Amino acid sequence: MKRIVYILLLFAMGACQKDFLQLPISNSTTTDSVFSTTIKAQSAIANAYQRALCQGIPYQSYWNSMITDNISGALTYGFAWTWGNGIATSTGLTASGNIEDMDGYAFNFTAIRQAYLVKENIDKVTDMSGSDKAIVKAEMQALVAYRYEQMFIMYGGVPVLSKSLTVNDNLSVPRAPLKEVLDSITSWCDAAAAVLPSQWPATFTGRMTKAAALSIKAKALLYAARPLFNTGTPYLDFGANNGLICLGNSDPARWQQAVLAAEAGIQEAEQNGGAKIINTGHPLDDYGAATSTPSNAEVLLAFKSESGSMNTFFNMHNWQAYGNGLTTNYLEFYYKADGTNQVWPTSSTAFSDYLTRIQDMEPRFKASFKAWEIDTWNNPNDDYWSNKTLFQWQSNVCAFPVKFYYKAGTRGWFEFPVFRLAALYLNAAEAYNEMGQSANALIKLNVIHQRAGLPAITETDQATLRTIIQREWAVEFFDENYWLHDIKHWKRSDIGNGLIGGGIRTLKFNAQTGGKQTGNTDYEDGVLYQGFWAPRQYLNPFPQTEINKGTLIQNPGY
Amino acid sequence: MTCRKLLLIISMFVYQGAIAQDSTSAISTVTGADLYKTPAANITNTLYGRLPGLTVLQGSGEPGYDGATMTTRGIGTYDNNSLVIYVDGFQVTSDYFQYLSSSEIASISVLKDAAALATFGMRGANGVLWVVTKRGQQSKPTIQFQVRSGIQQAINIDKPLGSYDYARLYNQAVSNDNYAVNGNQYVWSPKYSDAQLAAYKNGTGINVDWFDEVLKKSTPYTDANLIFSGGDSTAKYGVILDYMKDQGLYNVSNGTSTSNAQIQRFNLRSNLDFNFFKIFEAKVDLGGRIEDRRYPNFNGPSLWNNLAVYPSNIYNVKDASGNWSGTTIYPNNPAASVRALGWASTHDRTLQANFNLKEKFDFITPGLYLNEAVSFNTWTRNAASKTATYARFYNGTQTTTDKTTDIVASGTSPVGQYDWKQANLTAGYDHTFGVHAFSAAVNYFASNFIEDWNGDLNGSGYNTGNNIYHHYTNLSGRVHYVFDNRYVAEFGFGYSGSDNFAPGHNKGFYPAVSAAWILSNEKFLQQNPVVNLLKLRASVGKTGNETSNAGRYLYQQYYVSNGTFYTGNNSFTGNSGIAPSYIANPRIFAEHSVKYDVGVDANLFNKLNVTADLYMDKRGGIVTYDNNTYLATLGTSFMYQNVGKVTNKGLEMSVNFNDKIGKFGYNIGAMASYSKNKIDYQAEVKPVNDFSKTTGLAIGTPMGLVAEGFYQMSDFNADGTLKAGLPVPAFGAVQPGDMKYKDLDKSGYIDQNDVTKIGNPSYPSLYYSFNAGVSYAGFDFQVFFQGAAGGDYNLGNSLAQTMAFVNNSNVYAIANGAWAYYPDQGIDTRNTATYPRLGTQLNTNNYRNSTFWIKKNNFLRVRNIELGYSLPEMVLNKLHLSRCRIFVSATNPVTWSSLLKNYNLDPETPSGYPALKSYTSGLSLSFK
Repeated sequence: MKRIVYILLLFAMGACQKDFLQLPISNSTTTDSVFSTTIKAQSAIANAYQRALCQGIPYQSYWNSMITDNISGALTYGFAWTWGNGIATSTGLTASGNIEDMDGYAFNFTAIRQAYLVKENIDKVTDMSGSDKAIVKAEMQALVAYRYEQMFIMYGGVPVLSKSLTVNDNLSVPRAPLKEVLDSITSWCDAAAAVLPSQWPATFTGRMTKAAALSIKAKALLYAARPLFNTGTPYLDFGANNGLICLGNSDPARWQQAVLAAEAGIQEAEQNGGAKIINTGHPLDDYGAATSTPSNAEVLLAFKSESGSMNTFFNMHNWQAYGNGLTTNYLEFYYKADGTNQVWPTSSTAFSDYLTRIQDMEPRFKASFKAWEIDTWNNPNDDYWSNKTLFQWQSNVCAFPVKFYYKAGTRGWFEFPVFRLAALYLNAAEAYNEMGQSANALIKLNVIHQRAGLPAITETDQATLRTIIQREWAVEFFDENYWLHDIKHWKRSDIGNGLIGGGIRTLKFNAQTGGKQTGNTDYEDGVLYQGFWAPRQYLNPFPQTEINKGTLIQNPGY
Repeated sequence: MTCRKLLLIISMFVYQGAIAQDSTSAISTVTGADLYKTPAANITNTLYGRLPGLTVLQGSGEPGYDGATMTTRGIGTYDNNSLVIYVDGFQVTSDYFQYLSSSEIASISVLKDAAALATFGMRGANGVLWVVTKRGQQSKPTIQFQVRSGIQQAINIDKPLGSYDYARLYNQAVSNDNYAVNGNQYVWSPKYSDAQLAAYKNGTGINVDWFDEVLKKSTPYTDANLIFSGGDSTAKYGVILDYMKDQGLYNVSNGTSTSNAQIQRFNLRSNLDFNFFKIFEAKVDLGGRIEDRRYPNFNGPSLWNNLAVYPSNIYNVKDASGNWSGTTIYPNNPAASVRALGWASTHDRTLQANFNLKEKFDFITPGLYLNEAVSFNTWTRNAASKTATYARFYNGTQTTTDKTTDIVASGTSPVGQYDWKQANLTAGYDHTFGVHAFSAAVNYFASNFIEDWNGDLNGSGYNTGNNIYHHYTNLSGRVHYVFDNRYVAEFGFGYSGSDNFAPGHNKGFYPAVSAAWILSNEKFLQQNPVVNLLKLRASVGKTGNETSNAGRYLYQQYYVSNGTFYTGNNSFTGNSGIAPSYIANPRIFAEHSVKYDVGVDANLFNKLNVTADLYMDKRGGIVTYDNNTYLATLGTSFMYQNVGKVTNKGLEMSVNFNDKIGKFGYNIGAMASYSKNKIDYQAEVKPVNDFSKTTGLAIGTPMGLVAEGFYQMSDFNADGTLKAGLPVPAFGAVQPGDMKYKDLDKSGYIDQNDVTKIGNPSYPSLYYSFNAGVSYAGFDFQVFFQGAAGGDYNLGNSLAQTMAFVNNSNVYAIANGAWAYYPDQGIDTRNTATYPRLGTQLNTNNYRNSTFWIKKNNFLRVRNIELGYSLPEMVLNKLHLSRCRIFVSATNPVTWSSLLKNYNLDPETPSGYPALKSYTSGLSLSFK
């Protein structure tokens, strides 16, 4: 009898095993719970925005990160341990990790996947109206388009995804031809712009608008029209794969498309989006506000960040930023306040001369930099931004970047302008000039140029005006992640000799030992280091680890 | 057969099969009496070289945190390789095991092969440590009293250079830093003047030996125990009381405001056996203890790091105003850290309570029995402290915002706990029919472990906080058949289920077969005078490992918090983000192991015992983050898959010889274990160059660059760039005296693509020990050696001692060989340098993993020497004693190691709180 009892007991234990081995109740989130209510879905939406819009700024905050102007010749390379050092001075971009896309190639698809997941699952939310859901889907598609537009510029043709992949899908998606990537971006932007609102209520300012979607399209079309892609002969012959790195022919009509897209963006932004070029007649304040003040009238899309990782490489109060200094190569793009060019001495000259010449510079310079021995112009009478507070150690740079921090006080937040209305104006100016319509080009250019307090440009020769417009891009959009791509896509002839490659110069102080907080004696212009340039760098390499998996084709030269 | 042995066999049978002559398993065993020979606070520190197949590597000697690392038969997986520990038939945590007293322990066995591990199923793959505690014997009451006491010292302390050498070398370092600024020239630009150097040299400058300020030369250790045992055929008892106190090396008194590091342990074990109604055998085992730990109120590892990195010349212990010194760069004056911050303590309570009831149903059919057992194991830890802070001064000025405060007592608060309930039901049958001996058992085991959110098994993966429940079941069985005491065959299995995996996919079946041939029972050897035992064994079987470092519930799709996106105008609204984590794998399961073993056991001349085993362990299904299958376009963290494969092979051998010539007895013994593993598959993405692959190498093989000396001045152009034709390092600018590496792939750049195997893993491939003992007329003497070989040490792992000056740290003798060229100072080591040029800034070129920093780490230690004297029987009888022995012993007194000799680093504990050596004397009395 007893034996039977025990045997029964054994079986009883066996029977209840099923429950015994189950996962205990958990408070973790699953797909079903994420998309159950609007409030919860906001978290997934927020994540999609954050991941998509962080492109080009050191989002993941690797200690050896950089900002793109560290490798464009605009700023010195940063520190010895940053990626910028290797890329700018010795190895250039490499397939083993040193690329300008510092969060990593793979992270593009993390952002895209998150946007698609929201787009595909938002219909599961029970307490959201159909029209709101349609807007969310359009927002997500626009975020995908933005990420693709940036990849298009950096890598050329990339795998095009129109949905989130699962492990059961065919994951061997090859690189799509440039044309296909471009067409996808423009059609996604058109579709999104048709649904997106022109403005958001105050608390949601910062989400995708119609003008933002049109800006993405305009930027993609502008780069498609520029010489790097708008050709049948790519920068390096890629044989049968030429379609991955150029559009196959040189077609002037692409400039026409660029103009139309830019004009459409300007019209939407100004008429419905409440945007305008800020011009109150106080150039330093206007430009400062346009590049620093959250949700100012000129910003169409921004990456908004509270204090923390994203601002660290931009804010001169953080050690990560201490290595950034302006080069003479780039300083020379800035005009003097009277619209003429400044000249910097190449032999030892009294420091007082530096003070005189630097004070002569145009307002946009003063809104973007802090010069030696001078309290920042863009934060007047603020000890936090004084010469004394910002001084770190002796170094040889022309000046230190303080852009994005106009009248910032001690604020921790940081708003990086992804699209400013000014960019659409320069888009249009550049395209009109290429189409031979210099009058139209000057109208657009001078809106920006004169807002900066400079006398109007009147040049009508196409080639000369091209140089002037390019110079305007440099000055207006310093540190906004344009210059590195612009000079590559213009195929500037001096890219290996004074832009990215060749002698990178700075002003050197005190017998070249470095500028001091006070008591500087002399200065001169001279080469700081030799920049590295090789034609393969027109486009970024794909990571070797991805290439080794066998589906992707590496860009030529790597 | 003694009762103790019988019980041992019963408790071991289900899990291990018979341990007698007809066992087919590979098991090695050591007795508690052998472990007692090594006085050590932590039981793991008594196991060095005692068990063939168990590699025990020493760690820190900090009281209360001095556990050694144990692995069985090398390393079989790159995932979790911790072995599983059972005490009296129930699983326990490593912490429970560590502070058992050797006086409580009857034996410790290590179960190694498939035959021994079959019934452990999904928890058997990494081997099992099987501990049996002491029980009462059928005898008159006996009382045994043992006490021992001694002093402990650090085996080795690696001290930095003093102020003079620090300043002298710092001048080089800071001059080297200015190379680029000085137009790519080495220009002498010292920080310390000749007068300062002279002051350091003649003793008038500040020169503090922080180790001397904080540590004392030696510290006491004491333990004592009292063992009562006895009983008759109906009831037996074994009761053990044990006390241990182990103090730290800090030179501070134990009082209200300061405390040395220390642990006091109070153990009480009561193992009772009852027989009644002929059919019942019951066991009630209670093993409880209290551990009281107390430390200076400053993180131990940080303190030892500060001792290592704070230079001697930064300040005196107290400044001229009589206050504790401290600066913003060096805020934590080590002397004040142990004296001015108060103390922190923890209080641990542990109880393992086991109940076992066996019913013998011989009246139904001879040999049939049932057995039921339960175990309740519980642990809690509370913390309490008395703390203060102190103001830091430098030259009479306060340097930080800290203020000196009075000492404040905190309340006691809970910081950790677990409880572990386990049940075992067994039905068994044992019988012999003529020449056929047959035994079989089937067993059902259920385990419910509940830990705190911060528990040991709860750390990795997502869903922490809900991972506190661990449920496990195992239905196991064993059939053992012996024919004519000559041929043995056995089949064992485990059918295990774990809640780590998806319902419906959470159970696995683990069978094993084994056989033995006892040649010595064959006719042709039966009468042989030389061969007393000769047995050949072979086994093959499967086991599993359910605990992965990747975490639990990998079949669940988790969403995790991910950043915040802001919207709005001047006052931003934070929208916190949430995103999916790695892709769930509904089929995830436990890694498995197929083990093969052939062995031989022999006893010759009744004096010589030899055991040898040859084994192979093929691991498969190792939980691996699958980097290789998916492309980045998937856009998410990839999946964990059961794809990893490792092969681990090796051999073990032990030889023991015992003899007695008249009154003179002697014994010698030796054992050696050799193991070698290879990663067969780990979803590694193919690197650019094949020589960078880690698949195909041993687990933990160091990868790095191949160093080939230092850059010389002739390698550079006038503008500081490298001459044409020299490969360019991608790690930052270099200058003369920097490390030069090989451009293995001839790409023109030295970068991560030039990384290759640069040495052997730190884990020793050969682990061995040998011992000898003699006894004569009441005297006995034992010496025990243990060594290891085949592992390499990466000096880069002792950053504080090898990376000079960086991050305001210190300088050690290794830097005396630094490359330097200042001919006007009489410094020119260009051709003799043994260390890269010094610098005060982080150098991303010189301190990379490379062949330069990899050193052989073979060592041999005297683990134990003991001299004892036992009083003769005549004297004992007068004193009413059955045994009285006094002894002196030394633990870890001598170490031979190239790492120790050349770099002053202990081979097993190169940095942090050092490992200890000790000198002890003791007394052991048995009353009758």
